[in-house]
Amino acid sequence: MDGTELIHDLLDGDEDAAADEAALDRARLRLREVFEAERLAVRRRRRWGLLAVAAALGVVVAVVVPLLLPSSRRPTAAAELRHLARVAASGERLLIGPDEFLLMRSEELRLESLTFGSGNDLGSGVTFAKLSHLRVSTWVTSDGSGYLEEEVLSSRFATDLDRQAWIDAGKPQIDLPREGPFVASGSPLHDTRELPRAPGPLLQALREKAATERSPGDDQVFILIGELLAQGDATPTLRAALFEAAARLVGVEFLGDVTDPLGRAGEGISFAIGPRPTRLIFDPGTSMLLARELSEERTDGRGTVETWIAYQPSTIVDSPPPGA
Amino acid sequence: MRTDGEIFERSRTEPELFEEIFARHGPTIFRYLRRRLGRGPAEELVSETFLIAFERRTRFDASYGSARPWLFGIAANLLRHHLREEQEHLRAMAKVPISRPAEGVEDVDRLDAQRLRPVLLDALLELKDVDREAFLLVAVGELSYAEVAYALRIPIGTVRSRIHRARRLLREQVPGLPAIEGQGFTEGETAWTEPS
Repeated sequence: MDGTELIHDLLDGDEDAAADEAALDRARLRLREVFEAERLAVRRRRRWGLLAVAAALGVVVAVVVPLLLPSSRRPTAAAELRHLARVAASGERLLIGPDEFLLMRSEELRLESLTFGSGNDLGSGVTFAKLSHLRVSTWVTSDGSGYLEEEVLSSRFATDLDRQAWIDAGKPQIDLPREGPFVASGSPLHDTRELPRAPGPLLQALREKAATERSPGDDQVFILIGELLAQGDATPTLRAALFEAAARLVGVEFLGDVTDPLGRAGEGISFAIGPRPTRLIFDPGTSMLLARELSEERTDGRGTVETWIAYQPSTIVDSPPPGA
Repeated sequence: MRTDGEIFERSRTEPELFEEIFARHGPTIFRYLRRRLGRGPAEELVSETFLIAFERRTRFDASYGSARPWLFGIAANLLRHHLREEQEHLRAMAKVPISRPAEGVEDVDRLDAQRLRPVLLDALLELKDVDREAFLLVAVGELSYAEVAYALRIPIGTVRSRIHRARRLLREQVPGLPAIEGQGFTEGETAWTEPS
């Protein structure tokens, strides 16, 4: 027995031909579903090609009718989300090499509640809220660890009462630079590895995740979907399934052409049920999530504040930030 | 029989043909993933490997011939997200008695092998991730050095130095380890002098 055989033996400890065959069969069946779906899509595209001539004859009707009845052409949110699912499915996956980083960048207006005080109990401090305009960069390695950098571009108090509370607290410094490494278990990203890729089970998993980590309700699921779609490590298959899952939510509405907080044109989808409406803005050509706008409730119960996150395309880079 | 390249080409309009690519290479990729991660994660990752391959089938360079190294490259990328699971799997494997026990007479080789297992396992875990990756692609995946270079998109010289480092460390850490041979290693070292 040479060294190579010994290694094979070491790693083959759980060898079971029947179990292997069963696992391969299950994998084959899952893949067959995808191949079959694509086969039907190809057939549909061919059929549409054959119908192109006939469709040309209907161009006049197709142009005139929408002019007379413009609202009749407005797609539903579900139809638009399914279109985005198809676009997402053909997208590229960003793979992180051994010496590479996934770089995700965003700009956001974040509601932050700060408490200053000397007491041991939480109630004895002075709490005030501010809105911080941040530029956030996250570098992630293939093992999930990484580095986070947040630059405060500007900040303002949510209300005059918050400003007064800050003065009462002795005007503590609040716009400190924030940066530092994180380990995989402390990653600001969601772990996408265990999420199902089929829309039905995925929606169920997201409902459970929302109920466990936040609060039950499809408004939280919609926010969760937005966060996952913004993650640069989400695969095209997962992104397509996320759009499909969103299409199944009761309460999504198509807003048509909108502009995101950075002035970029996109299409809006909102979730209007629940106490805090949320709006996601997509680039319909690439399915990229441009921005998320949220009506956020203050932790002290003093009303709601409009916040947003605008995302930039994720990229693969070969170095962390200087000084990391 | 159609080449892999021909199947990739035709699968653009006949996607169902891609199942033939899975039939040809799925078991090999699965076996490699199972040896590194265990059966459950391997089942998931082999599906994901071929899903990604299917999504990117227009990008496969048909002139290369076999899709095997290209598929191993995708699998290797996915594996990098599962390094912790690999460690757990390797530790579990160390506790399993060596397979295929000799019939009748006790096999001294196998008894030695059984003794070496935990030490070899520790040594494998101590390898740098990139060295272990290159080494196991040859030792377990049975790729040639050139195929590893293609799979990992690195120069063949880098493959050689990573594998050399891995073999040297294994020899040092596992006294009594039999020579690590096999076709892939033999061919990979052809016309190559180990750095002094």
